[in-house]
Amino acid sequence: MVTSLAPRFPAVELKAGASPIWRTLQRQDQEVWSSMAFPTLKDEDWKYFDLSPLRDVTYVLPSDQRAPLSLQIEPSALRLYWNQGCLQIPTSLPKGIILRPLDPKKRLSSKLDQDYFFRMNQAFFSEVYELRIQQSFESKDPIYLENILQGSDDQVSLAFSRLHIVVESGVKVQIVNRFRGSNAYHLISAISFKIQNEALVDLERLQYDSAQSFHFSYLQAHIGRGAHLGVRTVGQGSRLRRDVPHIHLEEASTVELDGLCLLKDQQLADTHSFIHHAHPHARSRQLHKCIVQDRSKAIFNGQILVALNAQQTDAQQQSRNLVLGDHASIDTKPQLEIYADDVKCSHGATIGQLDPDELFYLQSRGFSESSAKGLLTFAFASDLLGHIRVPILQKTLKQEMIEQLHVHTLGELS
Amino acid sequence: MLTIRNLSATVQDTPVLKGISLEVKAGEVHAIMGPNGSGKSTLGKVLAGHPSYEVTEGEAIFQGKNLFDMEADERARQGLFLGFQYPIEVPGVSNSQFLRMAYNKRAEALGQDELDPLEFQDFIHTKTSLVGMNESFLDRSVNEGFSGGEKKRNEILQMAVLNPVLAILDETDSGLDIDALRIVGSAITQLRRSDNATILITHYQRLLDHVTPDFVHVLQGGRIIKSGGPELAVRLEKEGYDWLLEEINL
Repeated sequence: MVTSLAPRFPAVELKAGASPIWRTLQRQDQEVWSSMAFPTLKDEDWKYFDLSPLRDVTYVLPSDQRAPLSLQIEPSALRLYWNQGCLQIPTSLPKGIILRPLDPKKRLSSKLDQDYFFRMNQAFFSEVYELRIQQSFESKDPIYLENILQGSDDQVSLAFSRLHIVVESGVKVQIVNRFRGSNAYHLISAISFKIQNEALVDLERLQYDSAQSFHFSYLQAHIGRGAHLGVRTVGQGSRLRRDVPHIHLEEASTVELDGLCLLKDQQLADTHSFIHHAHPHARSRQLHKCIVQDRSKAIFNGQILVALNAQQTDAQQQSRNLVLGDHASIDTKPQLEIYADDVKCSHGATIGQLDPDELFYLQSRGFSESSAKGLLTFAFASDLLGHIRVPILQKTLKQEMIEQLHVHTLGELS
Repeated sequence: MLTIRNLSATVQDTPVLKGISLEVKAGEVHAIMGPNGSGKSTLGKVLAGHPSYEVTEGEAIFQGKNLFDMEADERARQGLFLGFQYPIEVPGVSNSQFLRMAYNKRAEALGQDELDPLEFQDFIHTKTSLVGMNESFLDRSVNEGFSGGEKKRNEILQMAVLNPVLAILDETDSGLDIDALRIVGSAITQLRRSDNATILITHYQRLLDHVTPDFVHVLQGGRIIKSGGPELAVRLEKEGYDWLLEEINL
């Protein structure tokens, strides 16, 4: 029985030069975290998530061997790299971008602090940076946040990445947060947003983690008055994946929170989202789609909280799931808590298989059974992929999906 | 071209076709009529290979090969086409991509050259005008957001592209307004050649005003109870099925 990871956890020291306040905060976080119990299936938040693959893991700290950087062809306003969780400070920054150590006073405190792995990130992360996108920023190209992980063969490298982003009032920006990795590692990534009034942010989160990896990701966003955040999360790697987006909506702000999981083999992916309608006239749209093949399993728990004074809230949540493997499974749970009385809230959850009549239609047009299945699976995911705002990424993802589904006929689609 | 002998089929152990025999020769148009639930649509689905139906007896020889030895997709590549009563939507795949993929599968089976997107663009142009379809429909996802009539036209467009040896059109006329009916009827007539054949499954005479059948068959209770020429359809339109059912009982 694992009660805590602490005893077999390698010590992490703060970098020399870190401010004394951070040292104190981190020491406190480490103390709190050490006393927290390792989650089990008995915890409500972990009910369907079997953490046993983590049990016999031997953690090591990542070697600081430089991961080879692949040549990126996408046009970008800025590209930041995290190598093994460690931010590589660029030599120059474009106009309107500031990158600096985060002022400890700005650290968000939230109910995520109760989360074992989030707290672990806080306890062991050694440098927290703030990326500030100012009103003078004017590039139409996205900002890329690239995480590169190189795990080890027989042990699990443990890495933390963390960033706080401030988007100033009225700024319009596209951000791509991409993860690539090889071999075995456990990444606990946390990114927080402070989106000021009337700003428009698109965030594409693309997780290409390795098949042996564990990736727990946390997203916190505070969306200011009249501001908008659109998030698309596409996850396809990872043995174990957990994604925890927490969204806080100010008056008349909007969020689109989309997620797509394409799972196979023994993969397990869990999305635990929380949307907080704290103020009136805000709007949320959530579309979560999972495709499970083989023996894989997807979990969705979508909590939406509409506070007493959040009148005229407009919230919609859809959980759509496609089960392709006889031994694959889905657990989905909408969780709406509504305290205001003048609101428009809806949710829907479906779990289904491919429709035999639809398969027959495609077969009657000459498509083999396997390509018909692939085509319908692609069709199932296509609306969500269509929401991705960066055209080159949308095209790439569609192509990758076609390859994943082994539908060579669809190679002609691009 | 197609010889059906004593065909019986079940769906979930319920008999739906009970000994159908039919001979379709090249160049012919056959109309299959009958009241609701008589087995008309089932016949089309069984011939095209819908997996929910089980053939319990009989055979269907299509161009010298037993249809029931082939999967649905193989039948299609061999030149059998089923126009659906309720065509499905395929989001995310444009109509032109879909048509080209289907065309190339058929072309491959025929040993012909596959068409690349540019070549296909020229080819498809002649076909959309045949069914009076605006070319903007080619860029839209397959049938997504199409009206009932547009979906039916799209079926005929697929038929024109795939150039089948035998087309079975299942209630292609339902959901069409008068103008669309005329266009679809004229398209079917124009696609008619001495080396292909068409089976029209329909409730009404009105499509047959535009496409004159060589033979009309009436299906009832999973059997063909009467066959005749075009005049049979005219009489059914006027008098309904009652007289025919009485005649059979006598």
